[in-house]
Amino acid sequence: MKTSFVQRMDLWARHLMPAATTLLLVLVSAVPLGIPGYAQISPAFTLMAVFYWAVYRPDLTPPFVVFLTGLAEDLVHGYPIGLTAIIFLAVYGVATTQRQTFLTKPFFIAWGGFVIISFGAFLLDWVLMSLFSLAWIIPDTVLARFGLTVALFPAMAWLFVRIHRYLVR
Amino acid sequence: MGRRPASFSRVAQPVRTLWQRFAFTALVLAAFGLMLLGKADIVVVKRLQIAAVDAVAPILEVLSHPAAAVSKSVETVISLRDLHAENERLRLENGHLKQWQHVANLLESENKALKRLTNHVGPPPASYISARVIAEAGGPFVRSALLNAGRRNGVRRGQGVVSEDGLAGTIVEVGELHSRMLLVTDLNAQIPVLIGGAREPGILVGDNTNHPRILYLPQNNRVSPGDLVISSGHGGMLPSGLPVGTVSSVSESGIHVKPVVDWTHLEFVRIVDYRMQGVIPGPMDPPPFTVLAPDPEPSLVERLGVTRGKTDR
Repeated sequence: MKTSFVQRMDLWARHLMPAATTLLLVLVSAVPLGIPGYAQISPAFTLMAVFYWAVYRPDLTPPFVVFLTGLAEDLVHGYPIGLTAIIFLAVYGVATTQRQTFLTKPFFIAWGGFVIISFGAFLLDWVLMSLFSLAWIIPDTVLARFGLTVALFPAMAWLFVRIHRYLVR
Repeated sequence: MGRRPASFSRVAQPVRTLWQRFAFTALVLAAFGLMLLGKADIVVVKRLQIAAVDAVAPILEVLSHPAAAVSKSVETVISLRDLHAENERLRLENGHLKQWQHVANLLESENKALKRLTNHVGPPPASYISARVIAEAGGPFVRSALLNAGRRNGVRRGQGVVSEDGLAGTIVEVGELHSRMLLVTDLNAQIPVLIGGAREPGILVGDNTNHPRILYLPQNNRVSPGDLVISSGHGGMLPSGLPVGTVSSVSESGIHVKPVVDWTHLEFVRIVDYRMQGVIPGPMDPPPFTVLAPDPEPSLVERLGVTRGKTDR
């Protein structure tokens, strides 16, 4: 079946959506909101996006896109360059191997999976950052951020599901 | 997806399968490599990093405007609610401040007279560059913010950044269009300060909490909670006398300071252009095309055009 140029462009644009929205989240999450203490415990929106797409459409977010997202996050937030890329690739790696268990099950199973995997991600982040700066970083804000990220995952997942539906329509 | 010519896919297929098999491992290794390169402070990496942030700085600036508008309108609603109480409070405070202004005028004239008497040489005058905060670093590990002024506006590494309350941080990274400021609460921030009426010298060291510590105080110091902490100007990076915070607690574990800056309303800041050149030239400051470290400063002898051999004693 031959597809017209416009149709192909449309499909191409739809297939770019997961990567584009993930990269946009990097920028949006850095915007100063003027909420007290928000900057320190702002939820890791990009981590949610990486997890969601790794489970539901890993074909549209190849490792290279995940790597670029991590780099963008490091650059914008001023983290040691490569740190978040490692975290995101680790989450992606684990999530893609476990995706069969999440796909057929109800949403809260995937949520539970996200709790476990993101805990590992925050732990790895904290250990790497402590090693990198050779200092003991007080983990209370890390835990607060983890809690907020996990709590807000269903809300973000709802948004990703909208995008996901748009993709397959 | 459209079909590709058979010959192309025959050539591309092995490369593609090879990439698919090893992409993940390669990318993880690349990320670790980048982290090590970043730790080594290599100029090329730093330059690329700054150029990349420069490229997204305009997007961040556009995004920061609506967010600021929303937070401002919320604030307006809240301030409307307690307008009356606020008015009363301000009236009272204005009365107090008028008295203080009188005292300040008296002290200033006395100070001037004393300085004239002792031929005091003051610090050079500082000028200011205004900038907007376009992004705040999220997360528990870094306390920094991006500003929309860069080299083009005269920003240099090491300059201090003040809000209307006092010292907020210092500039650590400068691009063409943006600069990054390290807040005084960051793990890597160290500011020379003077504490209290006795002007005890110390260093304010951040630890990623909201209450940085004071280290390297002299023995038998007289520091107590409530003492004002001001920048000392030691090291020539910052002007002296900028308010930094107040001592919040003095205990066995150390002296903690509450910064004066209201972090929630950090929207516009001023960068202090203090012409003291106190900062040690870093890897970003020397002429371009160096790979690792900057060239050493030419000695006086070399600058005068005399070769070393001839002038050796």
